[in-house]
Amino acid sequence: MSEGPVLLPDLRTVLGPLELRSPVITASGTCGYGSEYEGLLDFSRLGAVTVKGLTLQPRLGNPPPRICETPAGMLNSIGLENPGVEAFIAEKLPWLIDQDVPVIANINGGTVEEYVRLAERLTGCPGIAALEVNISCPNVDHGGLEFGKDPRQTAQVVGAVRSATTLPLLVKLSPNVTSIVEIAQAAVDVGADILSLINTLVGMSIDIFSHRPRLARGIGGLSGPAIKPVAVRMVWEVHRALPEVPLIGMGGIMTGADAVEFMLAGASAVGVGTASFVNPSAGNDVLDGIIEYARHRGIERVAELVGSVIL
Amino acid sequence: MPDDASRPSIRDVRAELQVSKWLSPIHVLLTFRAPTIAAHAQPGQFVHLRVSAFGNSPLLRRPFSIAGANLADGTIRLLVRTVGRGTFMLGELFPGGELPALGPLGRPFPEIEKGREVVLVAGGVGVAPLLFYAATRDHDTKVALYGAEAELALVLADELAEHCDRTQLATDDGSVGHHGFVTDLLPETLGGLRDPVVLACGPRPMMAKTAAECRTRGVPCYVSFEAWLGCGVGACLGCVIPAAGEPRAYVRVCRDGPVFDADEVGWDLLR
Repeated sequence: MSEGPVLLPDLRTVLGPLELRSPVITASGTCGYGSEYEGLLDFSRLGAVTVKGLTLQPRLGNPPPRICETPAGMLNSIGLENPGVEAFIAEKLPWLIDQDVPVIANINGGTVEEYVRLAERLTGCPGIAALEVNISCPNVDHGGLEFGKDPRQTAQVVGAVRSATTLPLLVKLSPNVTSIVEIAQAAVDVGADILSLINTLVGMSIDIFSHRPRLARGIGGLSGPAIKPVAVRMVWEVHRALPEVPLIGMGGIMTGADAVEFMLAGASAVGVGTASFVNPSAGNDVLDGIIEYARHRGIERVAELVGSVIL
Repeated sequence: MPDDASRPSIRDVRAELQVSKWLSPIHVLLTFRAPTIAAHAQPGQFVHLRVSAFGNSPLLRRPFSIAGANLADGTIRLLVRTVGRGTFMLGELFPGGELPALGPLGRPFPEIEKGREVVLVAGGVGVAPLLFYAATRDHDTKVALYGAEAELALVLADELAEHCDRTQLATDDGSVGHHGFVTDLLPETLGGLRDPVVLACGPRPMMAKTAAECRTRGVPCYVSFEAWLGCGVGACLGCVIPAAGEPRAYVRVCRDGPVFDADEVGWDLLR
């Protein structure tokens, strides 16, 4: 720590093979393909943008209602609606490339083969900085969380994608498991470079007047401040077990203070998700909060914070 | 589908409440100072409002159709029906209080030739965007049909009538006007007009019935939808409704709408 005030802390963030200019990343599914937030968010200040989950073919998604508000959070059941990887590359990616921000492609398959084909298609695609293997989507009938609940299946899909790409490889973990450390270990053992955690917690809300679930699909993924303590705990558990593995912590981060909490628990970077719905410039505001905290505390490099919780 | 043209003018501003006026025991009309929104707002567009500047519950913003914009003093008006925690909190906000307001958002009502007769079909607080339309768009003939549960809930009916050549009311309980649904008034109204266009905003069954009636008669119809929104800017895909036609697709109420040509909506799949 320095003696005097720090004018601007060093924000550079090293996640294994992926080097970012700042630790704040938009979480998949919450920032669309970026252009939806044009004029409202300065993308050049983000570490990276993780795009809405992609599949090989276009996906219709689940019937509405797809979202509902819950105490300090929300449930969603979008069901991976997306135009498919080809339309993403042709129609969505060029805008993001113009924003001068690394793009992380979140990939989803119903089978291992589909994950592999997505990885092959996106590897070498200009503008794609990394792949995030989503094995934790709770809102689809096939694939998704099925892969992320079992260490053997996790190893199978992550190992296959590892063989198919030279890009930095992220794996997004589900909290809906008995031991997240076990899944994390399985992913790292077969070549995951970085772990993103957590995806949403499976939840349900019922309208007591109609006796119907408030989401058409019945269940959905809980996000927002309501899940933050669970997410911080899981980041801490995984960091403690696998201290060398870079983590992107996410789950209810609304402010710079929330982000710092994740970093103290062991996250090298943070994902801003649901907050972007509430505040479209949340990705920038969280970074400003981290900077302000670091200046106030005389911290020269924000990376110093990572894992520095005192037990 | 074309994107809303006014998109570069979208701002997330601090809107200061200037006047809070209760129009019924459950309806409150809020006047906010928000000059950039007032300057660009078009009828049919909405603002996405945080109901509290602090705290995380309620978490998500609430969308409100713009009921009027005053360029001279930079204000917008929002009509709120208090139905839950978020809207109750809005009703309790004191003048001087500031809330984050994102807007103007969404696709507005289309430009309609001045010579065509415009029929505005309003159900409950669905009157808000139609009032803005009636007050700002000039037509040779404007007819308003406005329905609600009871006379007490027909808020701003006098103001709507001031801007229209003819206004007919309907109530579920018969306390004023036609005793029944507002859509009961449509056949006779449309039958008496030469080349009408219908603009509707209200409960989904009301809009479905309006759209069906217009379709039968070959009358163009535009409907403004309400939905639970997440982001309000088209990113989260939380607010979709079924689109018409094949292959099956969804459209976003916040970005592709909230105003749709009735022929774009998959009415048979709507729940």
